[in-house]
Amino acid sequence: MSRLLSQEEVDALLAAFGPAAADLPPAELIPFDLRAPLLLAGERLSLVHAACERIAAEVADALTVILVADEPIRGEFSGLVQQPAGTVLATLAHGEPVGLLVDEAGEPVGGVSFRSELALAMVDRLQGGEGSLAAPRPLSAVENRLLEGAFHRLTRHLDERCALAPVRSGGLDHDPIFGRLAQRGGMLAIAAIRLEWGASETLCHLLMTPPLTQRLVAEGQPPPDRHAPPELIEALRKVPVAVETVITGASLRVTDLNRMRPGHVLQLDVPEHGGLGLRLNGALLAQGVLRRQENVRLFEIRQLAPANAGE
Amino acid sequence: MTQRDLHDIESPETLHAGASSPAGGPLLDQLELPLEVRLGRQVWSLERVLALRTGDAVPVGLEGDDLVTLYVQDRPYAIGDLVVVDGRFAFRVRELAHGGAP
Repeated sequence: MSRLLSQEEVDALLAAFGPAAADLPPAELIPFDLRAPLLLAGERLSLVHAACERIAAEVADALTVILVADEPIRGEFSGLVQQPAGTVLATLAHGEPVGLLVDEAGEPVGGVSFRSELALAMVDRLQGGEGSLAAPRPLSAVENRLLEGAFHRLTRHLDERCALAPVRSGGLDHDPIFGRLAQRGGMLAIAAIRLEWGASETLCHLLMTPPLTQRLVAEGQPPPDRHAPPELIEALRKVPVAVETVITGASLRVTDLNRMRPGHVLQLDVPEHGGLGLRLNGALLAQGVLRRQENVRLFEIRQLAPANAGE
Repeated sequence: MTQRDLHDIESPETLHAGASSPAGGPLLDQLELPLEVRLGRQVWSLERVLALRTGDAVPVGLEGDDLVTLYVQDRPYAIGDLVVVDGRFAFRVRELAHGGAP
């Protein structure tokens, strides 16, 4: 179309739409998953990568202490993938326990999975052995309790030393596919950490839900600019402004608008895990996702808009 | 700007049932109008805006009010619910706002 309609023409057009067309068959409606995550990409992914490199070193430090290793264990972040929680937990090796990381409310927000040989090395050390890697096998009940104690120590270390905090130990999931992390659902970011000591090498995985990755992203953000003139800020801080949460970027033909009736569903070309904007005076202020806390809908900011956005 | 129409969720019969609008011919029928769904509006102090940071979660609209409004060309057009279809947001119409004139 080469000519834009005036607002009056558009108003007249919309007002002239006729009565109901045939009712639409019900589409498959899926309740909005308020725990659904945003996949990491771009700068956020880079920030999580950088944080995982630091966390790998902290995991190695903690294991050095737990295993009373003669030489420091080296921990190297070796990659990150993002998959549905069920997929991740179903593909863990047989007998590979997952230590749960929980938040202040006791909600599972992540975990650490140990290869069987690493778990056996830890319990062997706690039983007075050499703590060397052994051939994989399922852990006994006693060994599981010892491993749980070691995991508590690892969690305390991570809570004190890295950006995952605050986290607490939620115990072990011995059957992760049916465990609390699997029940939580959603996506997981899985950081693989290669551990080396002496001639031995194994892997552990840090499983992160979106709240944990968000903490890593927030930690990596550059400090806010505090150099605005204080007198100007002071003068402006009480000014009321209207902000609104919007989903934009869609359009519709007049013929389809004409047929719109109560009960119809209009699909927007906006993924459910993104595409929301917080707008101030018509300018985009931030981008984020929608979630719910009890009876209140919340807009969670994933990225503040650059200063010139919306111009 | 991407256009998604009702084809994904309408029956073929309904698609073909859409006649030209009384106010215009086929040319106007193909005209695309920008849409946006507004979830809520609040008045804050600028101080609160300046304090926003990545990771903050701020309320959207009034407590317990899940209705959203579909705007066409910056005019309220319908009230409805925000739902998800095939992993994408969708708007389910409860009531057309114009009732003859938006």
